[in-house]
Amino acid sequence: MFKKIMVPVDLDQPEIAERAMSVAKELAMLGDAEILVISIATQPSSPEGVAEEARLEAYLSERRGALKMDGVLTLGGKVAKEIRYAAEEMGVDLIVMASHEPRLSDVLFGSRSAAVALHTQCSVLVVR
Amino acid sequence: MYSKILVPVDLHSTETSDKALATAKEIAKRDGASLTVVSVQIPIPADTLHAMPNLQPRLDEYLEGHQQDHPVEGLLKHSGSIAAAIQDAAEETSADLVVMGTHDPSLGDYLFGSNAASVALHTPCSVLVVR
Repeated sequence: MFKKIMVPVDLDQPEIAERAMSVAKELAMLGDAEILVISIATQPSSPEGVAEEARLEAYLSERRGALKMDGVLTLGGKVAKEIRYAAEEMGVDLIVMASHEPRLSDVLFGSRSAAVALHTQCSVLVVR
Repeated sequence: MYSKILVPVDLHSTETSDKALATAKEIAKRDGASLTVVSVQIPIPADTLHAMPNLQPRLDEYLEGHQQDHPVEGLLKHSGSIAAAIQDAAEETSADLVVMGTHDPSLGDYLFGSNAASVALHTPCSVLVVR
């Protein structure tokens, strides 16, 4: 089963990822995996970055429970690319994402059509 | 979490779906879900000299060899489009999760997309692409 599960979350609209998060939690329990929440806010790190960190920490402590859950902030740039790089760098083996997350849509369904899904090296679960 | 899981299997090369089926079984076991394997028979053009063998016996054989850990049912679809057939099968079986493997991307996938990407994009239920 999966050992490191990444869930992209937009901290401005965390409700979009809520179902993906609950599925990720179930899978984490099934495989005794660690969850990595990646914040996809497009703000660059600056004074705002500090606030983002606090917001991410608050998000994590609300949902962590007994699970191993950690967070990563993306530093602006292209969201989809940041997620793919972070997933590779951190040895993520599964990305769980909502299908209707607009800012994430180009992870799977980007400008070069659905073939973009092939760019992730790890497994992807699209939650509907 | 899920109650009806569909796993598309290419009977001509099952290594890409082996991992998908193993993952699907773990989820199915935990959730007590039913598991259906779907294979797609591409129709034979009338002028083909050597007919493609009927896949039903191969599917039966595959099912026979993959009943360990969790029971698996089989479904054979006839279609010229693998992705469309998988979507049909998902609707027919009321699947709430499709678990499928994918091969290493080739040039054609960058131009036209892979079956996995197409299913992930167009199927109305959740889709897990296992790599």
